[in-house]
Amino acid sequence: MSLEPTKVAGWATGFRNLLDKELGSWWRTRRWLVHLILWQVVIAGFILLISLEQRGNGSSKGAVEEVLQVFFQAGGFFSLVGAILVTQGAIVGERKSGTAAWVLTKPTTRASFVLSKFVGITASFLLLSLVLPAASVYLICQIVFGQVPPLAGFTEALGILALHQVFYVAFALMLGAFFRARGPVAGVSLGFWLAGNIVPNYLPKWLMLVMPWPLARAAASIAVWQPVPMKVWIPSASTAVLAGIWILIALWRFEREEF
Amino acid sequence: MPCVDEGFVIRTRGLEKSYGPATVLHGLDLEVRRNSIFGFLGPNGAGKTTTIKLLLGLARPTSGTATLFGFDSERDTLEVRRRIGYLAQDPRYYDYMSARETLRFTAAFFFETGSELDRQVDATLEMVGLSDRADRPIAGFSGGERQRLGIGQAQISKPELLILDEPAASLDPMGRRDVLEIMGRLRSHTTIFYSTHILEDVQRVSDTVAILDKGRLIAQAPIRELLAGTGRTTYVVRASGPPEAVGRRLSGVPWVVSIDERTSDDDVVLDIAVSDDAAAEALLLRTILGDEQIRVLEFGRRRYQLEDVFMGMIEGVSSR
Repeated sequence: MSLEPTKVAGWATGFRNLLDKELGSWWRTRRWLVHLILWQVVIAGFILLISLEQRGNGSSKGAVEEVLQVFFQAGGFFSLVGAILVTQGAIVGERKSGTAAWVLTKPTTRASFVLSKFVGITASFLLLSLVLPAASVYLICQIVFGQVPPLAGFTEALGILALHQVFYVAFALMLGAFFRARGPVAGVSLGFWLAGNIVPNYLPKWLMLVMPWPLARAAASIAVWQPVPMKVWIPSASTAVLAGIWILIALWRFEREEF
Repeated sequence: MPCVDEGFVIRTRGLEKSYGPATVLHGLDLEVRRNSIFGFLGPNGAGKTTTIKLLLGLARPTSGTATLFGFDSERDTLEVRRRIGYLAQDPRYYDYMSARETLRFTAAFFFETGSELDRQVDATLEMVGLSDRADRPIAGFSGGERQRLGIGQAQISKPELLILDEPAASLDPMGRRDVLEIMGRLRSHTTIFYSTHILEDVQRVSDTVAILDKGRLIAQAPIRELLAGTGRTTYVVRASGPPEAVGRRLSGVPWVVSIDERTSDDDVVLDIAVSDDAAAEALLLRTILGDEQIRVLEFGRRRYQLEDVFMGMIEGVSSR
């Protein structure tokens, strides 16, 4: 028996190995446990406190709706900040530490390097900061109020919120391909979120329709079967397209990077 | 399919790199033969690391070309990187990984994972002397251990060419010895191209040398040729007696080119350059001893050290 050379060629050369490394940095270290506890405490814990306070105030349905509104908006915000903080150093940190230069002397492509980060962070972080806390919130509703939201709407809402977070992961990854420090990456990403959520009245209406800003609110409405004040597929589709564009720009920029 | 042309694994033609208005590499023409241990010498800031980055595709040349195994370093960078192993000057790895995980991660860029790959990892750990630390996180490794891991990861794919950037620069004497020993073991099946400013190491392990200064190549030759120096032989004589006596004895000898005289511990030390080595070998000592006032304490042909050659060239370029 002898060593068998890898068969993958083209842009995907080295992708599988790099993705395995990215996932390993989450799941083969204590990082997953730290994030699991952090997000369960921050999001599920926060929701539990609110749920306990809501119990006995009016109808269970109303209380569940209230709790879900909080989860999809406040919990979504916490998870978003986490996503930006986790992604800010993905490229910048490796460029600074020298590991990026080391990896890129192996037979792999720069596209594989960037895409493995995108997939690795998205899969791991969304599971730990969004999906698992959402499952806990669903369980809290059942235990505290004896009532759960309709699963289809809850899942759809969760998908929309996940898309919202993916947008920011892609955005921060793109900024990381341009900037040399973490600060500007996090600052610009959070600034972008703030622009749409704090001062939306100063922005053109069409911008509000194609950007991801209204998605968290829309997700909250969908989760509780309330009418959504807009055609949610428009910002959903444009958010997905924009996330793709950010990744393409990140690939373009990183391809030109010199070490 | 490109191949190694005329036995050269690295060939650069007019390779140039500028950052803004500053040119750090000026038209480098370099040729590295297969199976050589090629020492790439130069003071700090000479452009050694820049050259290596250009060869590896980590930076783009402003002009000129570099080919490795006949593949263009920029256009065919994947093909180039399939054939080389690289150790950085200050190697950085993922600190949460162990040495075994780091080697497995590196090897998986080249080979399918499986038991054969694991055996290769074990063999590499053994070769670089890290078997007993294989499963510890590398965050706690010493400089020497990191460097040995670096050599391990660089050669785990059994590359045709190893590029090492200052492999022994930050190591203590023990670490340096270990690294040079490993390089010596690897020379049988790979070409080694390494940059350094430790001349003693170069003289110990290299067969070919290039000297770079301020981004310009000032010499490239087999080390024996460089050490042959200027073509003149110099004899060193330590003697006691009247200092002018030796000079007087040799003043009329036609093959004596120059005499440099200095005192050391009450003795006179003379560097006598000659143009006819055979005549000097037969007659020089006899001629000096012809004066009874002179007592010769030491006599021998001067052995040029690489340091002499290197300093002579660097200073020669600086004074131009």
